[in-house]
Amino acid sequence: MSTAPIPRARIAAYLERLRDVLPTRQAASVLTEVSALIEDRVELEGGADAPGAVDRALAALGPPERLAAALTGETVSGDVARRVAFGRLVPLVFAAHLVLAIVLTLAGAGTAFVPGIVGALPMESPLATGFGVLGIFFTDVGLVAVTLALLGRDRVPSLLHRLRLEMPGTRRDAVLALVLLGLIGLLVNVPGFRDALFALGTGEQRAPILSPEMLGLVPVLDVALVLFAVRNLLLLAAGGERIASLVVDAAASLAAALVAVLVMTRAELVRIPSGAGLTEAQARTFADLLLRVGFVVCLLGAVLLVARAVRRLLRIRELTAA
Amino acid sequence: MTEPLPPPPKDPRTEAELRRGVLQLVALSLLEEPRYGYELVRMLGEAGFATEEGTLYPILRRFEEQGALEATWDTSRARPRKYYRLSKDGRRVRTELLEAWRRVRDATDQVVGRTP
Repeated sequence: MSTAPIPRARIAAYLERLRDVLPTRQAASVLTEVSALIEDRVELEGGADAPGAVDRALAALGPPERLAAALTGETVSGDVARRVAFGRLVPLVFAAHLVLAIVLTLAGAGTAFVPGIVGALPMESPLATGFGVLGIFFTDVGLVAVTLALLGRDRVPSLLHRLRLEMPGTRRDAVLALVLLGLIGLLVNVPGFRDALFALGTGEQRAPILSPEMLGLVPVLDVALVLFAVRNLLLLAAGGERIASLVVDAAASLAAALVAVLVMTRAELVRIPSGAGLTEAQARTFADLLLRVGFVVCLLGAVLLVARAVRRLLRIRELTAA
Repeated sequence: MTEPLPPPPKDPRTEAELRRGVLQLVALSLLEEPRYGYELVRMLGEAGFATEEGTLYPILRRFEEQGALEATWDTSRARPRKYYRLSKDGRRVRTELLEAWRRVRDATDQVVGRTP
């Protein structure tokens, strides 16, 4: 069986790659124009289904990196690759670093984990906090620059390309997402469902275990769920991503990231009742394990959600620039 | 006595390099009338300046950004198509390019004329 992508998918992949290597301010207009060029060529070659038509149209444009370099006056192997690496790495590293700093600040960490690089934000005044965030940003820019210099700027972008966060935007995705959000909403808000899922023990001894601190986060989680639902309803109504749905998506991602950060800073995620069939030592070990696993999962989740929000904001900038 | 050297083989890349130098001038000269990208590629090919979209498109875009070309989208068709046309500034750019080309040509003629 052939694994070659269908012609239309190859055009979409070419345009997607081109968007990745172009400066944001140029991307939207260039993609529209290049798309028109491809369609003209494909039409004159006998249509997308004609053998080799799409290949010849794409070959006439050359590799996306070379076209981007010609459009920006940069060299292919150097400037474009470096800019792509910077554009992708800096937001990711900055998001992770900032989330970690916020967690350490909320947890009241007194000393820096890695002196000068990872630690709590200064909270003496808003100005001090602002400079703290700025310091994190410049540290990350420097770290990325050193990393690229050490690893080689040409290899890094191709690795990062695989890390791209997809932005599915079809009606089918929206319907599936709404169903999933509805189920999560039910599980979180209906005590009967919630207590049945997050419980230990069997029969009459089965008892809910979520800590009061965690239950206190339900309203914040609801806000994130509602925002995600609104995003999907907008997508469903418009038939694709628009600026409004992207704005709501970015807000929802940040709200969900906030939930993850709040979970990470809770002193206990679960409180094991005495009748749950565990000894006191077992209950303590179990609670401690959940706390650690929860921390790691929420840290990763928060980083991905902030990165998702950043990507939406960049896309909004692209669309508004167009 | 040594045999005379055979003539160098014809390398199409050499000619392509020379033509690329004047591609901007030729492309601007074809844009007195509004034309879309692929139409221009075809016309250049027929005129002996075979080029591809990946080479021509960045040139058109740069000229458009500089104001040498005016661009309009024809949305009356099923698929929108972008048309380029020489602007007032573009005519001045074309004249400058033409003068530069003539200077290069004259200088080349002078040197080549003196070569045995």
